[in-house]
Amino acid sequence: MEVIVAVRSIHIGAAVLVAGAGAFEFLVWPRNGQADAVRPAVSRWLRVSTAWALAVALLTWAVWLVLIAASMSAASPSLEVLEKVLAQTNFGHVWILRFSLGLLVAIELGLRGQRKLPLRLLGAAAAALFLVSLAWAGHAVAAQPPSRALHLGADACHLLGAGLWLGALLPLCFVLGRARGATGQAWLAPAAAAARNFSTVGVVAVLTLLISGVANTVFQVGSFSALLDTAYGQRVSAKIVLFLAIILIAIYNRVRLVPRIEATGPAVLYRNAIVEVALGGAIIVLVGMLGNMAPSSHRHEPGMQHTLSPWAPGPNAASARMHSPMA
Amino acid sequence: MNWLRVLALVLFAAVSVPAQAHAFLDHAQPRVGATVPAAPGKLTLTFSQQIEPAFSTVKVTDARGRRVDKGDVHVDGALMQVSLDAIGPGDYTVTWRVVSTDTHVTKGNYVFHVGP
Repeated sequence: MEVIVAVRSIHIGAAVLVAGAGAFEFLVWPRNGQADAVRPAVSRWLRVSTAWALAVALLTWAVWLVLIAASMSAASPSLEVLEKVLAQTNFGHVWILRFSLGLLVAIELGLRGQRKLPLRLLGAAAAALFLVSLAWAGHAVAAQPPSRALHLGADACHLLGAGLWLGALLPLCFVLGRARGATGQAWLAPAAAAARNFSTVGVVAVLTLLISGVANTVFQVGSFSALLDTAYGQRVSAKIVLFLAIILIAIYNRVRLVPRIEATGPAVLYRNAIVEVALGGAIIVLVGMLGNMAPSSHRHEPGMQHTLSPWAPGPNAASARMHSPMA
Repeated sequence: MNWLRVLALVLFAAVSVPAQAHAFLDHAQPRVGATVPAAPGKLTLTFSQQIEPAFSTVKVTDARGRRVDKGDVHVDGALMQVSLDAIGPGDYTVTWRVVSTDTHVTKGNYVFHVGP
């Protein structure tokens, strides 16, 4: 696997976790009194895991910049080249914006002990923007107007859906894990409430992912046959299969496990959530790969160029050269 | 576990794919391989995606390898233009290297002919 693919995948995964922690805190974790006993432990876990995810996200974002600068300039990325990329390219501008958003999240994490709600909301919003703004570093940004806005919107919604679902799923795994066993009694009621809330958030996230995913597939894959015939389409197909597998597990969780969690315990739900996280991780690896490949809708059929030399009366040498596309 | 095997297969199938180009040359003036009766004053390349002016280059050389463009490359969205010297009959090679706004690099070349 190429370094840039690994860096992209790790970065996207880390950004999803950073945004998901905010989604979990505000949309999934119960705010009523039943969660008070374990709230400090959850807050601590969210803070530490977000800090680690953010550190990984910022580090990979920096490596991503160096790799892109090397690729753009076809040379070692000197300070001069980095400055040129940052100042004069779309990626450079997006890089500065996202790095600033990352720093904003870091500052909010540092101040989190003060428990000021507006500050927390600002941190969660910055984390969500940190994830969503990745759309401006992907294929959608190179689309031609007027459909460019649609491409970017679909991509941004897709990222937001991933943050809501996959990003909030990992903290839910933590809570469900704590609720297992004899020592988890204090965790069971809030874990059950969180699982119910997550089911509702999950429906919104899945619908967002589904609609934006269909739009992205139409934009980037181009045709149904390209889903199977092209390398890009095959990976999109693999992503769809993994996504459907997660949906099936989520439906089973929502219909069979969540309503009975207080009676049967969270063990099976915890196991299923771990499987969903693993499948989500595989999807993110595929997304990292797709970002480095030419979308099948961008491909052109090769053309042929004929040349004659010396192009003068008398003997001539003929040559034919395939090129893509017809120009 | 079965899902692990499926995942391993998916990843195995995917890892060997190389990076591919994104901003393809959509059309050019003079056209690829074309014969034009009179020397054009400028070269225009139109790509399939928007490109980055800071890292996108083009040069036009004659049959002896001498550069015949003025180096005043102008990029606007997916369009790239460069003025040409007063060139005579002969074969000219256009060599381009562009970076699309989604950061991917593509390059290529083609020949056009000036003359009857």
